[in-house]
Amino acid sequence: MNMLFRSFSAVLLACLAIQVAAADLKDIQARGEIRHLGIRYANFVTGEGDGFDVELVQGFARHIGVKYRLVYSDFYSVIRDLLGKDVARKGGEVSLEGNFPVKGDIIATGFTILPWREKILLYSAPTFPSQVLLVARANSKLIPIKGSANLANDIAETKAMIGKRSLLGMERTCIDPANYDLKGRGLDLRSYTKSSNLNEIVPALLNEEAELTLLDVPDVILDLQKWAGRIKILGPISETQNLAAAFPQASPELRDAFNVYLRMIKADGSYDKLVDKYYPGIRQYFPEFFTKKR
Amino acid sequence: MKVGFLRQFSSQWPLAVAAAFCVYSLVLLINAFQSQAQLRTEADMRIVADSKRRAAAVADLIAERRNGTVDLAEAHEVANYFINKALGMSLRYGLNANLYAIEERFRNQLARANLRGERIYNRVVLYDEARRVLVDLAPDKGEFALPVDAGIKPAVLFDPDLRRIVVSAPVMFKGAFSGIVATVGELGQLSRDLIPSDATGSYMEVLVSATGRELPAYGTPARISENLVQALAELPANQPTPTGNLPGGNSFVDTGLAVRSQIPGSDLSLVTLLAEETVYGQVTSRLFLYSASVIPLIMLVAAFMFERVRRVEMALARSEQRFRTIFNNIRDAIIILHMDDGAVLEANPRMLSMFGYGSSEVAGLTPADISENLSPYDPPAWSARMTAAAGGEPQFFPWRARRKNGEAFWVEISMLRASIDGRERLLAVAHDITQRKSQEQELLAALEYQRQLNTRLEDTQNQLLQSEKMASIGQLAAGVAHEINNPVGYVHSNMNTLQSYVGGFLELLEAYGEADATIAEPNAAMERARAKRSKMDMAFLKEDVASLFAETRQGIERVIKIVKDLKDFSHVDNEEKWAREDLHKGLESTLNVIWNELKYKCEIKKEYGDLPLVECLIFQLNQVFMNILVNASHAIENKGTITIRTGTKGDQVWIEIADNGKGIAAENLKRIFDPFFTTKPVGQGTGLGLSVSYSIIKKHHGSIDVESQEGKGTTFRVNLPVTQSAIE
Repeated sequence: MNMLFRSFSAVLLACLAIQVAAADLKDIQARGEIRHLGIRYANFVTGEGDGFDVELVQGFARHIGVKYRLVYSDFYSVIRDLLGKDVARKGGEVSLEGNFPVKGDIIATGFTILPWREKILLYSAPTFPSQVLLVARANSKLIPIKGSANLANDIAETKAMIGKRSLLGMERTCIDPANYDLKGRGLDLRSYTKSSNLNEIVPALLNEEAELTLLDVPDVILDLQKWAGRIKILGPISETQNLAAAFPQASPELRDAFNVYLRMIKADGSYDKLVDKYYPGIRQYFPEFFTKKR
Repeated sequence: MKVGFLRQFSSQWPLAVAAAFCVYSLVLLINAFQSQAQLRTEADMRIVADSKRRAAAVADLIAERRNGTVDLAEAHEVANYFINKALGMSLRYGLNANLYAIEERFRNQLARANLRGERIYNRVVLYDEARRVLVDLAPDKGEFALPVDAGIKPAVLFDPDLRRIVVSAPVMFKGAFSGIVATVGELGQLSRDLIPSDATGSYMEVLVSATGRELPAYGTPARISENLVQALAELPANQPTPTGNLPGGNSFVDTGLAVRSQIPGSDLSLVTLLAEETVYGQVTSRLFLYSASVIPLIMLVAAFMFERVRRVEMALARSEQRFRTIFNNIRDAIIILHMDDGAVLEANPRMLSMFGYGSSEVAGLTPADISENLSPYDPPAWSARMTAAAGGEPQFFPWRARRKNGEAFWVEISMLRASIDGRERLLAVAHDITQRKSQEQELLAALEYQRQLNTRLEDTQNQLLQSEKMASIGQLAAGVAHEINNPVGYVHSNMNTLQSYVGGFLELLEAYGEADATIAEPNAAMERARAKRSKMDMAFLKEDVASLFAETRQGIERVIKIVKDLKDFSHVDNEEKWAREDLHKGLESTLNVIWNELKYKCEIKKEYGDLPLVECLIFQLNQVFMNILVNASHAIENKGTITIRTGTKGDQVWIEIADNGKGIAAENLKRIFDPFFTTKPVGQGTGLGLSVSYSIIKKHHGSIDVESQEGKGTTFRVNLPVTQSAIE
C-alpha cells in the first residue's frame, strides 16, 4: 500500500512537474511569475542576488509583465530542475530519465550552448561568448603558447601540453573535459566533486588537486585579476563558444519572447551596459561577438 | 632780564607753538614711519608667504598628478599584466584580459579624477619597456613627448604651447624597468584653484611659464597681455615688485604689486597681482607719510611767514597810519584815479575842501568835473597826461581846475602810476597855485612895465644920444654949410662967368680959325699956331668944354643942395612960420610932387582918419613925408603898395606910412636915422633924408618910429602933438 501510494505520489508529482515544466509564455503570464534557474558561477550569477544573467532575466520578467524569482541550482541539477527529468548521456546519446520537480522556467547562468544540450533544450539567441582555456599554476614548467592566427593549431598545441599531467574538470559544466574531446584519451582527468561551484576550481588547482584545469574566458578574466601571479593561461582548449538562455522544448513562445527581448536590449544599449558591468574586458577577447563597439 | 624774555616770547609765541608742534609732529611721523615700515615689511612678507603657499598649492597639484600617475603605474592591474607577461602568457590568451583590466583601471581613474568638474587626465597611456604603447585611452590623439626622465623616475613635462602637462611614472617589475605610465592633462588645470580676479578686481593669480606664457584655466581666455606676462615671468622671485613700470594693459599695472613665486619642482611660476591697498590695507601710504613729513616743516615755515607777515602788517598798519595822517592832513589834494577813464576813486579831505565836494560826492567824479574844460585844460589834454603817466612817465604840469561851484583855479598836478592795494592806479597830487599864479601875473605885469620903462628909458637915451648926436652934427653941419656955402656960392657964380668967358674964347678961336683959312701964305707964327691948333683938336675941345661945364655945374648944384640940406638939418634957415595946417593937404601935395616917381610901381592906399589942424611947419613935414614915401618907393623893387593911415591918439595925431617892400635888415634898423647912412648905391642917396626928417619931427616935439621885417615891408609912424604951445 505504501509502495502503491509512494508510486502514485511520484507519478502525480511527475505529472505536475511536467505540466509545470511545459509552462509556456501564456502560462507564466497567467501565473504572474517566472522562475529563473541560476548557478553560482562567475559573474553570471554571483550568489548575492545579482549577476549578468540575473539582471538579464529580471529585465525579461518586466518585459513580459511577470514577477521574477531566482531559483538556485547547480550544473548537475539545472536541466533536471528545468525539465523535471534527469539527463543521461551515453556516448553521443542523450536521454531524459525519471521525474523530478520542475523548479524553473528558464536557465540563464552562463550556460554554454553544447550540441548535446541542444537535443533536449531550446536555446535563445546567444547571450554571451566564451571559450575554454587550459590553466596551470604559475610555477608550472609549462610555457604558454605564443598564439597564432590559427585557432585550431593553437588548440592542438595547447592540448598537446596536457600529456600525462592531471587535469581538473567539472562534469556537466562548460569545463567538462568530455565537451572538448579529452575524455578517453588516457589523460589524467580529475573531476572536482567537492562542490558544483565553478568558482572553486582555481583554488582547487592552487591546492594542487591537479596540475591543470580548464576555465572559460569569462571566468579567466576575473581569475587573472583575482589570482594574478599564481595561475597562468597556457592556451585554448575549445573553439569560441556561445552562452545562451535555455528553455524547455515545450516553451517556444517563451523562448521567442526572450529573443525579442534580447534584440530589444541589444538595440537600446541595455545589453552592453550589462556586459560592461559584469565582464569588463570580455570585448578584448571576443571583439567579433560584440559588433557594437565602444 | 626775565621780563624781557617774557616779552620777547610773547611777541613770538606763534613761532614757539609752531616749533613745538613741529617737534611733536616729527616724533609722531617717525613713529608712523617706523610702524609703516614694519607693517609694510610684514605685509610684503605676508604676500610673499601667501604667494609661496599658493605656489606650493600648485606644486601640490602637480605632485598629486605625479602621485596619481605613480599610483597608476603601481596599480595591481598593471602589475598583473607584467606578472602574467613574465609567466609567458600570450597577448591573445590571457594578457588581453590584463590589458583590458588596465584600460578599465585607467578609464575609471580618468573618470574619477576630476577637479571642479574638469577631468584631470584626458589621456592615460601604458608603454612597455621599449616604449611601445600597450594601453592608450585616446590613441587618436597622436603621439606626445614624454619627460626626459620618464624611464628613471616620476617626472613632469609642461608644454605651454600645447597647453598640456605630461606626467610619467616608470613601471617597475621585480626591480626592473618594465614600462611607463603617462598621464596627459590640460595644463590650465593647474590654474583651476587660482583666483582669476576677486570681486573687487584687486587680486589676481596668474600661472606663467618660464617662456612667458600665461596658462589660464581650461576654457578661460588669457587675461593679461603677452608683453606683461613676459615681464612678469622675468620678475625676481619672492620679491614684491611695483607694477608701475611694467608694460601691458592690466588694471593692476598702475598701482599694484606683483609677486612671482617659482612653482617647486617645475619651471612654472605663480604670479600674484595685487592692488596696493589690498596688500597694505589701511596702512598709510609711504607717499602720504612723505607728504605728511613735510607738513610740520610747512607749519614751521608758515608760522615763520605768519610772524613775518604779522610784523609786516603791523609795520604796514603803522605806516598806513602815518600815511593816512599825511594823506588826511597834507595841504595838497591827493586823488586816486582809475587807470582807464580817470574817474576819481578816492581823495583826501584836502581835495574835498579844495574842490568844494562832500566826501560822498567825490567818488566817480570825472576829469571833466574837476577841470576848467577850456583848451588847453580840457579832457583830451588830461587824457594825454593820463596816458603818459600810465605808460610810466610821471607827469608834472599846471592845470586849470574847477570847483564844484564852477570857479576855475590854478593847480599844479603831479601824476604818476602807482600800485595801490594791489591794483594799478593813477595817483594825482594837486597843489593849489592860484596865489602863486596871481603873483606871477603881477610879477609879469611888473616886468612888462619895467620892460616898457626900460624901453622908454632906452628910447629916451637913444633920443638923447640922437639929439646930442644931431645937435653935434647940426652944429658941424651948420659950420660946414656956412663955410662951404660962400665958396660954393662964388664958385657957382664964377662958373657962370667962366662959362661965359670960355664961350667967348671959343668963339674967338673959331673966328681965328675962319680967318686962318683965308690966309694963303701963313707966316711962321701962323704956322706954329696952325701946328698947335691941329694938335689940340679944337672941335673936340669945344664939345668937351661944354660937357665939362655942364658936369661941373651939376656938381656945384649938388653941393649947393647938400649945403642947403645941411642948413635945413641944422635949422640954418628958420624963416618958415608955425601955423595950424591940414596934414592931409600936406600929404596930398607931397604925393603930387613925387607922383612921377611913384606911379610906375606903387599903388597908394589912403586910410585917412579925422585929423585936427596941427600946429606945424608944413613944408618941413612935407619934406619928411616925401623922404619916407621916396624911401618906400625905393624899397619896392617891382610892384607894391604904399598905405597911408592917419589918426589921432589923445592930444596927438599920427601918420603911418607902410610899404610891402623888401624891408630893412635888423642890423641897419638902428642906423637909419644916422646922418649920411644910406644903403643906396653911391651917388643915389645922400644919407641925410631920414636924419633931416628925424630932426624935423623932433623940432615938432613928435616922434618917429619904424617897424620893419625883411621881405615883408616897413612901416613908419609919425606922432605929432596937435599944438606946440603947451609943450613950449
